[in-house]
This record gives sequence, structure tokens and C-alpha cells, in this order.
Amino acid sequence: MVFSSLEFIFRFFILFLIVYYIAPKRLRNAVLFAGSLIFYAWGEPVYLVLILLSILINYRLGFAIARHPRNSHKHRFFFIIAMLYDFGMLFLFKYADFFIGNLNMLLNFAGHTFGFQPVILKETGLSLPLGISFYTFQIASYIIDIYKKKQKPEHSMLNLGVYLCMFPQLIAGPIIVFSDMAKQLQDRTYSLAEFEDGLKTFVIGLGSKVLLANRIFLLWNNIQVTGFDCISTPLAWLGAFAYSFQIFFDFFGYSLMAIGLGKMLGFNIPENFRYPYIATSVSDFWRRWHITLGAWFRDYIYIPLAGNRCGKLKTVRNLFVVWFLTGLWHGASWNFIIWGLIFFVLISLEKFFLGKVFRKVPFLGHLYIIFLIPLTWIVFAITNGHDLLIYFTRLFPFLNGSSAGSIYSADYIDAIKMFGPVFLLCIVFSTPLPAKLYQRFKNNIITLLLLLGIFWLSIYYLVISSNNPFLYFRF
Amino acid sequence: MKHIKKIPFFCLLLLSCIFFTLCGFIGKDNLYQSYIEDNDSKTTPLLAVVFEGIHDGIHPWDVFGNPSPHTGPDMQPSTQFPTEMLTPAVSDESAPDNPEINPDAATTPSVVPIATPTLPPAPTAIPLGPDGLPLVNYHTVDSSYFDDAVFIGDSRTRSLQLYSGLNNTTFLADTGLTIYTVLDKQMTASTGEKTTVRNYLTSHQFQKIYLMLGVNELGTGTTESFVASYSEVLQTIQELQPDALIYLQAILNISQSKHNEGTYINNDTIHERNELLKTLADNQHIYWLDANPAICDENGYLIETYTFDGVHLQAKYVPIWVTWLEEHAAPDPAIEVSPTPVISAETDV
Repeated sequence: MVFSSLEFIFRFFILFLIVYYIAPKRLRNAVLFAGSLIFYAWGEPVYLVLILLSILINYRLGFAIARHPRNSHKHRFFFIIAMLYDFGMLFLFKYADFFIGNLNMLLNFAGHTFGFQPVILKETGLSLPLGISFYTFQIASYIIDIYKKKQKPEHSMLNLGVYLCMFPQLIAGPIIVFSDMAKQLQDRTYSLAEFEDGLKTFVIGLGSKVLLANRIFLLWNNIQVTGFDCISTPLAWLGAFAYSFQIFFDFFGYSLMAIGLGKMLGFNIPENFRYPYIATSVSDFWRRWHITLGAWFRDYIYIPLAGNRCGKLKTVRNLFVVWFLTGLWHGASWNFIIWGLIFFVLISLEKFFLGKVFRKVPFLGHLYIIFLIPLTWIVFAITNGHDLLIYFTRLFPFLNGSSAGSIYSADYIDAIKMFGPVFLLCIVFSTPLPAKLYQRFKNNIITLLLLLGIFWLSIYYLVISSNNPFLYFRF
Repeated sequence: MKHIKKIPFFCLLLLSCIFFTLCGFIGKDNLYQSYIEDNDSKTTPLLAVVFEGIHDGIHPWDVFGNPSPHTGPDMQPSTQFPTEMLTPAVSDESAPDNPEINPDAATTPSVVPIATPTLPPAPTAIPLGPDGLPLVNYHTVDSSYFDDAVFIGDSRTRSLQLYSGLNNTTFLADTGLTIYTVLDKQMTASTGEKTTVRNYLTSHQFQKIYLMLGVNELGTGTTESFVASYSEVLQTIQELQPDALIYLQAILNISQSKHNEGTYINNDTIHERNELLKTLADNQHIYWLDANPAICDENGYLIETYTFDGVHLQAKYVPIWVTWLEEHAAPDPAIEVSPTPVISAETDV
């Protein structure tokens, strides 16, 4: 069940909210835990077992690690068991088939070269459990903090369960570290003003997802329907921008909805995006994009590897590790790894010299981000290497030495006519301006009516697209 | 009261929820009945019907006014009449109890017999093909054949317009076009003119008319009601263009993966509709052209690599369709009964 669905808004959440607030304060964590399990099981009853096991095992191991003194063998032993379990599950369900596929390819190649009959390993065919990338990172942060004696193990298994699977951030983050949640899990304040604020935040997130991301997505979809071979260069660029806006407003909207829902339940969930497209360098971009993931990699990978404190060579190695893993985290496919490594190269370059240029001339930095980030998103979007190359020859027609390809050269004019207004909205909402205005006129009646309009317009689009996919993707 | 002041937005939202739910509740037995029957009440709130209504031109306040839509301003069976509303009416047993929302329903069944007599029965002397229609000795022509042709259709015809490279011909193609909206929907002709098919065919004469519609209608009505509407449209087009050859194109099939999604967009329905649609052709004035063999595999699925969404040909495969059309030009009407060996559309590909 996604937040931007009628089912969630008008069935699950309304019912949940009533039960949650009728229940006495001390029972609310139990209500939230039960609600979250129902939310999870709604779409994926089988993998519910996996998340419950994770809670149970990490709860026990947390105590086992904490019981032993730092640097003792048992301390380390239980820590390694926990890590093996958590990341082992992630590997099994998310990466095993990718790994086996590549191994088979390698064996095949070796077999051909050295003339033996290669053993072909069978793929597991497992589907990806919902939210596993997110909850694995959350529980790993909990265990690592206990291992480092930064965090005491949580005594209430219920509270740990709520931390790991509370539905506002279960499926798509933000990734919250346990120390940020511990206090709120024990005691949180409820206020009508916060509730109201959370509701507004949710509506803004909903609008971002339904009215911006879903609309601009149609352009990207149209390009795929046409086929990359036959689009004009301007349309290829529009497509790259459209996909960039789509992925931003989709994810940003989802994070906002999570923050809003959290607020309505009395939680403070950290922000995940801070106008990434106004960044002036790639490093800056990653401090603004999916902030909680970046922070996780910084705190649990980069800094433990000594970050940039041990000379240039080690810094480069550490950056490589972080960006390789960041790429891999986004998906089990080579294009994601390449995508991550592109950031490794760019950020390394910025660390050593490019960064100074952009700090001096921010205008250059903006230009660089505006044109470069959409290109990285194309690498992210197109999982098939062959198609990816074709798309790049459309973006840069000189690459294949000919201008052949586009049959209908005015295709981009049609796209501008159709998507111009959505593009403009996307550009405006990528800047801090709307949020500034919102903060200033938050309680103005006009703002309230605008939000009301956003909500019902979103519902309108959800209604007409849920019953009839044709109206959304008309032929 | 003090508390309410702290949560004005919540109150607004709640009130509007109640309002829309109330509208849905009041209209549930008349205005919105057809939607409610289609919706799953477990997952869809009652207020959803109000938005479905708005999409089809029914305003929420209509439920408070005159409950009889016959006199309501939005319920005239005009050409803009929402086609979706016909759906449940035609396919639904309870349609007679519900006359106010489907003014066309009563007349729909009688459309077929009205239209059929206009199609002259095929002379028995002409050999019939496997499709039951007279065999036609199709010619291969070059693209100048399309100089005096017009292509009418939905987004599939639109991809023909954009990616065929044919700029010597006329297209009246619009995304989302259906047999119910084809004549009177505002669209932009390939000439750049803003027009409707009816107006354009009134002011311009063509020698050949290529028609392909039907994918958008798959979730709407029954095969019979669809073909009945098609027959009416054909009749109108024939009246407007008495000299033109009409090429009635079969609905193109979809890919296996799209078919396997198990929605109402499936090849079984397409096949069923094509079979009945074919009966509107006589291969003398209205030719039946089924391009599916050219773009489908042996099981009748649109070839997977030709399409991204399972429905539309990708631009680079559109020329296959064009070539196929060029290979299927009807013989000149003057020498229409040809004694030469005949080739059927099916064996040709």
C-alpha cells in the first residue's frame, strides 16, 4: 500500500488514526506496531516473517553485544553475527541473483576460454521484500552504535519493533538512526498544532507525488513508448530533465508524506531533501539529496574507514568504497554501480580541485549541476546498457557521427506544448521560494484553501487513474 | 471550539470529505449508480464516485438539484456525452431500471439492424476468403497512393502520423479517441487546423479513408455495442464521403506481457471485437484490413521487441505498418471483380 492511494488515505490511515488517538498513551506504541504490521502485510504477507525475525534476532544480539566489554572476543563475535545476519538477508533477497548471474557469465567465459564445461548455478528467483534496504540500514545502525558503546540496547522489544517498522517510513525512508528515535519512542508530546502541521506536510507531499511527479512522468513514458532510437536531441534532453523531476518529486513527496504522517502521530522524522537541484557541486548535491542515506554512509562507512584524515590515497579509496556501495544500494544491476562510480569520480575531482572553482563562481556550479545531474539520472533510469548507449547518442548526436535517428524532428515542440506548464511548476518547486512563502503565510486562509485544492485535485487524479489506467495512459 | 481554531485545515478537510461523501450517498441510486457498481467498496471510498462524475461532466451539485438528469443541463445526450457512462448501461442487466443515466441505451440494440441494410450483401459469384469476406486482389502501391487519403484513429494512428514519414497525406488522429468521440472531438489535423472529424470530412473530400479505433474502448461496453457504434460512424462517414474507399482496419493486438497483466486490455477481447467488426466490411466499399499478421508472432501477440508498453509500435517499427498498407491497396472500383488469381490478406504476410 502506498501513501498516495485511496486505500491508504481513506481506509487504512483514517481507521488507524482513530484507534491510535482513542488508545491511552501507553498503548499507542502497541497500536502503531500492530498498524505497521497490517500495513506491511497488506501488500506482502509472506515477508512479514522476515522483518519480525529481524526484530527478534537483533533485539537479542543487541543485549549480547552490550553485555561484553569493548574489544573482547565475544563482543566482536556477537557483533559479527548480527552484521552477517542483517546484511546476509539483504544479500540473499536483493543481490543473490545478480551475483549468480554475473558468476555464471564469468564461468561461461572461463569455460569458453579454457575449454571446460561450466557449471551453471541456478538463480534463487526470490522477490525483493518491501523496504528491506531501508530497514536493514536502520537496524545495522542500531547494532553498530551498541557495538561502539554509543547506544544502550533497547529494553522494550516493542519499541525496537516500532522503530524498525513504523509505517510512515517503513517502505521508503527516511532512514532514521535509533538514537534519534529512542526518546520519542518512550515519550513524545502530542499537540494539535503539530497534528495540523503534519497534515499540511502530508498534503504537500501528496501533491508533489501526484500532481508533479506523476504528470511529468508521462513525458518520460512517452519517450520510452516511442523508442530511444527515434527521438530528437532536444527531446532527449527534455526527457532527461523530466526524469530528473519525476524521481525528485516522487521521492521528495514520499519523504514529506512520511514526515507529515510522523508528525500527526507525534514523531519528529528528519528531513530528507533540501532543494538538491539548486546545489553548486555534486558534493553539495549529495548533502541535499536523500540526506539520511548520505548521513548513514558517512557515519557508518566513510568515517570508520578514516574518511579523509589519512592522506589522499586513502581518501580516494574510501570515496570509492562509499560510492560503489551507494550505487549498489540503489539496485542490483550494473547501471546502478556505474551510476555510483560516476559520483565517485566527480566527487574526487571536486575534492582535489574542481570544488574550488565552483566555490568561487557559483554560477558555473549551477550550470554544471543542472546539466550533469540529469545525465547521471539517465544512467540510473536505463538499466539496459545497449539502450543507455542509444540514449546518449541521442543526447549527443555527434557521438555516433551522424544525425540519423529522429524521424519526427518536431517531437520536442509537441512535448513542450504538452508538458510546458508541468515543467514550469517543477522548476519553481525545485527552488526554496514556495517553501519560504509557505512558511510565511502558513495559516493564511488562502494557503489553507490552496492546500485543500491540492488535496482534492490529487484525489481526483488518483480516482480517475485507479479505476481506469487508460485515462492516465490514454492510447 | 478553542481546539477547532488550532486545526482549521483539518476541519476544512473533514468538512469537504463529509460533503463529497454526502454527494456520493445522495447520488448513489441514480447519478452515480454505475460507478458504485464498478468500485470495490473495500478499497474505494464512497466519495470517489463524485470525482469520477466530475471527470465525466457530472457536477457534485447536480445531486441536490433535479434528480432526473433528463432535464439536467449536463445530462443531455449531446455529442460530448461521457462515453464511460454508456458502459455499465449497455452491459448491465439493470439498465432498464436506470434509464436516466443512459439515454442512448434504449436505442443501442436497434442500431445494428439499422446499419446493416446499408451494407450490400456480397455477390455470391465472388469467392470468399478464410475470413468470410470476398477475396481481394490487393495491389502494391507507392506512398503517393496516400495523397488523397485520410487516416482517422487514436494514438496508434498518431504514431503512424509522427513516425511514418508520410507527409503527403492527412491525419485526423488524437490520443484517447474512441468510436464514441471520433466524429465530434476537437483535435488538430495534421494540416495544423483545429477541427473535428465531422467538420473536416464535410469540408474536404478524400478518395480513401483509413480508420482504426477500438483500443481505448476495450473497457467500455460490449462487443455488440462497440460494433453498433462503429457501424453508425461508418454510415456517417459514407454519407459525408460518398466516393471514398473505406479501409476498416482491425484493432491491432497487444503484446503477450501486456495481455498477461490480465486487465480488460487483452487479445481475447480484441479478437472478439475484430471478428464482429469484420462483418461491417464487404470488401467492395468497405475493405477489411488486418495488419496483425505483419507485426505479431504466430500466437497473435504483438512482437515484444516492437513495443515498450505492449500497445504501441515503437517509432522505428512503424514503417512495417506503412509497407503493409502499401501492399494492400484495393483494386480500382471500376474493375473491381477481378478474374485474376486472388490473394488474401492472411496468406500474404
